Amino acid sequence: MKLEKWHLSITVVCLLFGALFTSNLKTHLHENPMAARNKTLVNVIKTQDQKIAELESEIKSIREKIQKYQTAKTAQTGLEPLQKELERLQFLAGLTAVEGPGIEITLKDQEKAKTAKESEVDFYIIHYTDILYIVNDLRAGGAEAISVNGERVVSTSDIRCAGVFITVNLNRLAPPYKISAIGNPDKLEESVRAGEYTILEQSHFPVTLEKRNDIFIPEYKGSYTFNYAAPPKEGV
Amino acid sequence: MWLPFLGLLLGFLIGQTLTFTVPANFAPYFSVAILATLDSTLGGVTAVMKEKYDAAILMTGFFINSTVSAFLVLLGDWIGVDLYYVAVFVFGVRIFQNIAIIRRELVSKYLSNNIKNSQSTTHEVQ
Repeated sequence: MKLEKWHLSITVVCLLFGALFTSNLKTHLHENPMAARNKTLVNVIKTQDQKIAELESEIKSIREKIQKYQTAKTAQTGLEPLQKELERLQFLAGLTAVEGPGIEITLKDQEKAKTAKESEVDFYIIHYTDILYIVNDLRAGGAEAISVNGERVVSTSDIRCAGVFITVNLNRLAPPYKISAIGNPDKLEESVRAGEYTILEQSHFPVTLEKRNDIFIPEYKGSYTFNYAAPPKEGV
Repeated sequence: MWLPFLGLLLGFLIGQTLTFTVPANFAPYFSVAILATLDSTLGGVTAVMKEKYDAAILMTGFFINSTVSAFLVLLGDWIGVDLYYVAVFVFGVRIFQNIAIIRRELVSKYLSNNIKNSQSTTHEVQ
C-alpha cells in the first residue's frame, strides 16, 4: 500500500498519544509515596506492639521468678513478716489482680460522629479528658482500684490523647471505653454523677453506669522504674 | 494502512522506555490531556473514514485540545469548581461518538456492502 498524506500525521498523533499514555500510566501504577510511607509506619507500629508484648511477658516471667525466690525463702525463719509486707505492698501498687463490688461505666462515641462534618466531629466523640475526669471523680469517690479497657490505672498511669487514639499506660484504646472501679458502689456513683458523667449524659452520649458486685480488675502489666527519685537521706 | 498502529506501538514503547513519569500532582491534568488526545486521534480516524480528513485540523486539535483541557482542570482547581468531570464527560461522549462512527463506517464498508469496498475512495479524497 502506498504512503498517503494522512498516514503520516495520524502516525505522529498515535505515537504521541502512546508515549503520553504510557508515561501517565506509569505514574498511576507507581506506588504513591504517601501510601508507601503509611505501610512502613504500620509495620513499625506492628513490630513495636510485638516488642511491647514480648517485654510484658518478660516482666511477667521475671516477676514469677522473683515470686519463686521469695516463696523459697519463706522456709527460712524470720522472713515471713517480710513476705507478708511484700505481698501487701504489691497489692497496694496494683501489681495483683483484684475483685470486689463497684461500678462499671461505658462511654461510646455518638452515632452522629460518623456522619458529622470534619470540623464538628470533635463534638460527638469521647475525648481523653472525659476519661481523665471520670477517673478523677472515681478517685474522689474512694475507688480502690480502677481500670480503663482492662488497663489498670496506677500511680504512674497516663491518660493521654495520641492522634486519634486515647492511651492509658501508653497502650492504645478503642471505643467503647469501659471504666471499672472497685469501691463503695453508691459512693462511687454519687461522685461520678456529680461530674463529667452527667455532662456527657446530657450531651446525648450513649453512656451507661452499672453497679455490680463482681468487678474484676487486672493487675498493672507495666513496670515501675525510679531513675531519679530516691528516699531522702536520714538526718538531712 | 498499518503505519498508525505501528506509530501507536512505538509510542507505547517510547513511553515505557523513557524514565520520565508524570509527577503525581499533575496526574489529573495529564489524564484529561490524554483523554483529549485520544479524542483527537479517534476524531482523525473518523475524518479519514468520512473522507473529510484535514491534517491541520487534526494536529491543532490534538495539541490545543489537550493543553486547554488540562489548563481548564487547573483553572477549576483554582476557583474550586470541579471542571475535571466536565472535561471527562465531554471527551467521553465524543470518544464514544467517534467510535460509533468508525464502527458504522467499518460495518458498511466491510460487512454489509462488499461492492463499496472495491471502490476504496477513502485515500484519494483525503
